[in-house]
Amino acid sequence: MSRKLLAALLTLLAVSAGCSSRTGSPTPSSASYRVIATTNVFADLARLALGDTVPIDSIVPAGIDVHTFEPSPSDAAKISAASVVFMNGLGLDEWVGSLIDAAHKSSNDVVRLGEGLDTTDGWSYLTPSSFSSTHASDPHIWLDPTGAALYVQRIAARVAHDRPDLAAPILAASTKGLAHIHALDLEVGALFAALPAANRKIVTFHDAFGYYARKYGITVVGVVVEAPGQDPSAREIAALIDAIRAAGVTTVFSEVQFPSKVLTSIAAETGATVLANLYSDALGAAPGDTYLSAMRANATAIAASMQR
Amino acid sequence: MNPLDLLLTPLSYDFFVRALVASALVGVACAIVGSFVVLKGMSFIGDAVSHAAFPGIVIAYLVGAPIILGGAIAAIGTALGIGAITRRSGLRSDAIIGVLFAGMFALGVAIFSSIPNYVGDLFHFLFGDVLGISVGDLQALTVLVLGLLLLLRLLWKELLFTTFDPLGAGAAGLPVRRLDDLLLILIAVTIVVSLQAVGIVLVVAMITTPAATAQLLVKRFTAMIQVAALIGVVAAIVGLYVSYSLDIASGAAIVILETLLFLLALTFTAIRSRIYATRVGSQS
Amino acid sequence: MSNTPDAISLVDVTAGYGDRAAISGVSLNLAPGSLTAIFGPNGGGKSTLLKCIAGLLQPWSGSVQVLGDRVGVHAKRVAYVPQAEQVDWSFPVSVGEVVMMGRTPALGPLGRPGVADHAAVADALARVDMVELAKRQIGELSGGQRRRVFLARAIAADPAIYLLDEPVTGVDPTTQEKIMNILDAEAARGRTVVATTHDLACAAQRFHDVVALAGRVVAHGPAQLVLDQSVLEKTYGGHLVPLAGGGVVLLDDPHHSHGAHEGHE
Repeated sequence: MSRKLLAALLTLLAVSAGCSSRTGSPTPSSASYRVIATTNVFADLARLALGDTVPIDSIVPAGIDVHTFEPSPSDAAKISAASVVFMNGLGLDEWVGSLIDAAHKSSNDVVRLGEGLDTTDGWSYLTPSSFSSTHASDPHIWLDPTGAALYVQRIAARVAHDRPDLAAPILAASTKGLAHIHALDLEVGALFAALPAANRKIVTFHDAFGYYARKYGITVVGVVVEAPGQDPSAREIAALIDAIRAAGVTTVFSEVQFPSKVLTSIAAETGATVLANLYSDALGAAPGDTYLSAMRANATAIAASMQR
Repeated sequence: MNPLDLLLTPLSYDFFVRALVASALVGVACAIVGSFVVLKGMSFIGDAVSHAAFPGIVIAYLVGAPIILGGAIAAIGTALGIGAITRRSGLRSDAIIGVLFAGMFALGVAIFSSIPNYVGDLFHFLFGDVLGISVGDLQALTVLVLGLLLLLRLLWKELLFTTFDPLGAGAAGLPVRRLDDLLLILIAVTIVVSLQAVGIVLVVAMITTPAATAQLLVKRFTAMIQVAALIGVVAAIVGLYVSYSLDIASGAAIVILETLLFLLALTFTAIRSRIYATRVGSQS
Repeated sequence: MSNTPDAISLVDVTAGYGDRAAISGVSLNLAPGSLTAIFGPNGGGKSTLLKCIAGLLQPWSGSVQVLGDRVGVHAKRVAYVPQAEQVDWSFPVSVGEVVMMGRTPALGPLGRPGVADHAAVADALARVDMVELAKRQIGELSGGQRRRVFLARAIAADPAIYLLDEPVTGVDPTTQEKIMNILDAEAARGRTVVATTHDLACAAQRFHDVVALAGRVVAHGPAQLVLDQSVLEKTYGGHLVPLAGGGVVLLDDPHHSHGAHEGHE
């Protein structure tokens, strides 16, 4: 959805805020409206979209991998209390489906942020031939700021639809949030553009940075695990070692939620350094506690590694 | 592909060489300890102890202590507990062992599930992480195997006598109970150290299968231990290469190989005794 | 009566398994050089008594002294030959290896077999006529040969006391003869030999003394006691069947289990 169209819709909703309620789906009551996102990344994007207009919560705790997360009964309670659930879809967080069923929510209450973007916004998905995971399409759209911006717009549009009384503040918040994301994009772009293309190679733990790499002209030389929870085989490790040596990569990035002896092994054998500070599926402690700061931290760390 | 290449290419990677050495050491240690286990009919205890190590490992992981320490405490405690219960009840208490085994493992699963975590680590506990073995791990493993061999050499005749004829050994003044407990401790320690290579689910196979195969083939205990150790090493090395070529889990490849060798030995001895019977029959 | 101290001395010993006493109030003194057979019904406590002397079973009350000290102190000088059923014959050891096990107490914790030990093993094998079979796996032996191997193990230990649980039960007469000759010779050398048996004829003919045991000591004296009808009646009780024309038949199937677990663990 283009920004102009979004702005127009929100203005319309703001104007019609005082009109009598429409027929169709019941307007959520303002007193208890809550937003829940599957991960803290999406929760932070929701904050960028909505400001502090409504309470926002997330399910996956800090430092935990979203791909293999197993929800517990207390998480079902959070879903029950929520008015809308924002998930990524595309295989990243399908586990939320069982919680949604348990809470007797309908699919109307769930927004799959990452799906259908090709139709609505002309987004081009990475398909399995262009990345190595077992998902149908690479789900890590938000790591490309352009993708994150689309998420913010979708979040804003949905909540404004549910709460037309809040359309004006939401418009204000999301406009500001989108501006921040745009500024981030320019910043990171400039950072990488300053490096020669030959240097722009990274090795990450799992295949989260496909869109990121595409956006900023980086080559992902290899990843340690095809999909979180699956160990690499001996041959895969050997191939990765060869690729690292051939590409002259000097840094291997682990991720906070993935302790790994194999990674340490690979780094030792290729002489690469292991850095443990990339944020992919989750935010962490400061400086990685918001989407914007995490992305900046990533860019700094990655660019620095490319200068060795 | 040039067969020599097939052999040499993987060796150019440090991680593979370490995995190879570690698997071979584990193969030897398990086979030696397994010879006693098989002769004493304790294979079930081997399985129980490997599963019982799980809660110890998880708790150690939780508090940041060395995993081997936690696993060893749980495994040794369970092994000695089984020994004590077996002696006290006087029966072959496979029911009691089964209860302990399942209970301890369930405890481990419960604790594990309460820490939201990276599932890959659970996979490593269950199936091993031999490709991630570090130099430090290898050193610890070497120390263990050397220690095991040394202890065995020093106490060989006592262990032999006690295993074969506990009554006669006890009457002759040997500390049968302490030797039994020592054997249980050795089994537990070997299992825990081997877990990092093959994991909880498969370590019982590493202990039982080579020894059972050797028992089919030779008639002397010393020869049985040597043959079992040889099988353990060969299966480990070949298994690792197979896992490399076929892209399958290394622990599973090793165990499948050991099982195939066992079936081969079974067939061989069946044929041999058939031939012998026919020959004897035709002479009468 | 000589002043040499008893080789084996039990005072008021009560012992058993679980909550059942197999022997109660047993007092017994066996002199060095004695060749004693313990007989009695199944469940009468024969194996239990032997195990108490061997230090394999703790009595509930009473004391057991072996070679002048409490049981266990001189364990190295005691050789115990278990019942045939209690051995794992499929165990991969050879005849020679089993006999060498007898040298374990002499060798001590870190000792390795030396010339003297190999000589002792060879000597023991020769005495039981098993030298040619030294390398045979024990599972391939006949019943009589198995018995002789264990006797050789005991001989190799050069013990002061031999404790044998049913040494001649179920063996052919030739083997029985050989075994009894050896035991005779050992007793003559001053060793103390105690054996349990069901074979009353053998007890009467080949042993010097007998102990009639039926949970308690019924009688202890020269071997002829075995043929004493009143002793037999008191020992075997209802197992005696009087025959027409005098005489009795003793019904005592060695494999008939009288009450719970006599001698088994």
